[in-house]
This record gives sequence, C-alpha cells and structure tokens, in this order.
Amino acid sequence: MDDAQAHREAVAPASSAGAPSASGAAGVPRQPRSYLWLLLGLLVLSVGLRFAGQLVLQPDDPYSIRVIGGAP
Amino acid sequence: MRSVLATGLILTSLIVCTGQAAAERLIASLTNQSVLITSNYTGVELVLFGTVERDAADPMRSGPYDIVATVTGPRESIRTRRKQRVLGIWVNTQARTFIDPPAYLAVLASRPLEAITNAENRRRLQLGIAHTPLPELIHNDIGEVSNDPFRAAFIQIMRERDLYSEEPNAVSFLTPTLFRTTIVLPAQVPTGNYTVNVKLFEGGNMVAHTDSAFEIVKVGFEQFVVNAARDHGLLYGFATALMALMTGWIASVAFRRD
Repeated sequence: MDDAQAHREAVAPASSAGAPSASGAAGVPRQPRSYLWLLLGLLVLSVGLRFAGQLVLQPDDPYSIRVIGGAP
Repeated sequence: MRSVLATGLILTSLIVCTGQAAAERLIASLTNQSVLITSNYTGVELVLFGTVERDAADPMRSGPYDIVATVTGPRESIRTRRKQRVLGIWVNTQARTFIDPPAYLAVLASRPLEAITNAENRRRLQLGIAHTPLPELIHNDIGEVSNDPFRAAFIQIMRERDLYSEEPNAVSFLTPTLFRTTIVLPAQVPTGNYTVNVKLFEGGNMVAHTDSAFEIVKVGFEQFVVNAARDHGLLYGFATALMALMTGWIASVAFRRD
C-alpha cells in the first residue's frame, strides 16, 4: 500500500458521510469529486436562501439607488 | 449743469462699486490637478489652499472672512427606488429618477453655513447639500420637489457612501487671509471632471469667488480593460470566455489524479 492509497482510505469515512453513494472500494477515487458536487450544491442552496431571505425579510433601508447613465 | 452733476454722480457710483467689487481678490489652488486610479487605489486626499488679497486702499473691509468650498463631481442620472411588501415579498414598487445630480458633492466651510450667511443667501447661492438643485423626472416633467422622501433617501444613501458630505469646520485659516482644507475622495469615487467653487464671505455677504478643477482618471491596465470592454465588447467577451476556459483547463491539468 503506497502513501496515496493509505491517505484515501484514511479520509474515506469522513467524506462518505456527505456522499453515501460514493462509498466502497470502487468509489474511493470518486470521493473528492462527489464532495465537490456537494459543496457546489451547498453554495447554490445558500445563494438561493440569501435571495429568498431578501425577498421575505424586511430590508434595513427600503430605498436603494442605481446609476442609469450620464457618467463619462 | 444738471447733466454734469448726473454724469459726476454716475462716475462716482461706478468708481465706488468697482472699488468694492475689487476690494478682495480670492486665489485658490489644489495640490494636484489630476488623480490617477491604479490597481492599488484606495482613496486620496487633495489639499485646497488659497489666500485673500485685500485692497490696501479700502481699509473698511478687513475680515474676518469665511470660506465655503463646494466640490462637484461628474453628473449622472440616478434612480432612487422604494421597496414595499407585496403579497408577502419585498419588491421595488416606486421610483424617482434624478436628472444629472452630481455623483460627488462635498461642501467644506470654515463655520456652519447658518453662521456664515442667511437663509436667503444660502438658497440663492445654492450653498450646502440642502440647497443643491436635484431635479427629478416625475411623469415626464422635470422639477424640484421639496420635502420629497426620495430626495431625502437619495442624499442619505450618498452620504453613507461618502459621496456626499458637508463639513462645517473643514476650512481652517492659517493666518487671517491664508486658508486650507482637505478634499477627501473615497475609493468608490467616480471618474471624470470635478469642479471646485470657492466663495469668500465677509459679514454674511459673498465678496469674492473663484473656481478650480481637477480630474480623476483610470490609468494603466485598468484603463485598458475599461476601454476594451467599452470599445470592443464582442472581442472582450470572447477573450474573457477564453480565459475562463483556459483557467479551468489548467486547473484540471494541475489537479489531475493519475
């Protein structure tokens, strides 16, 4: 067993908690990829929640400004 | 005889008026006429300094003086929007468009404006943010609206962004006739031409004024990117997309697991 394989097996239980389908001997190389997909999903979900929160929660200032042109 | 007397009176009054108008001469200058925005630009401070030249032949007016300097940035139309709750969610429901208000406005004075001159002069000379014209577009009409919540909100937001400011004690007199003040330009200041109008007051009346100017420009790679995006939009889009693809490919090569 080389060092890289030992490292993969060492981190496999921790990673498989977020991605159970990727567990097992054949899925060990795919662990990091599914972990990245999980992170991407969390990122998209957090952005969606943020937008949803902005729509539902009362804003600190109901006024906002936007430049619509004129500057050089 | 009457015509001679009338002519004499007119000439005398003209001499007196000219003498009063030329009693003080205001000279002002900036430490820098051009501000360059580079990649490490985080704001800058300019020093405005000047002097009052008094007419030695007119001992009646000898101060003390007051200075009001108004720095006005480039003009751009800005829309102020107001959110309201509709069917449980907060959405923009109303808006007002301000036609070409200054994108930067700083009023620097030696004392509070109320102490320098009266309300009529402040209104007539457009001293201070409260008397700065901010015309609005309302139903295809352009006009000033007093006590408008949109105007108040616009000024408040610009103040929070440090783009509008009114400093009542920002101008200091080093001697009775020599003054200086600092113009603070924040990091988010817009590029363009800026004018500095300096007014000299004595006894509540404006006795002299002068103008100066400076410009804020982007230089170097930042200016190249701005010009490329504006002048060659299609090429700029392709270049950025290509850079994104190259970055992804390089990352995939670097982190490849063989």
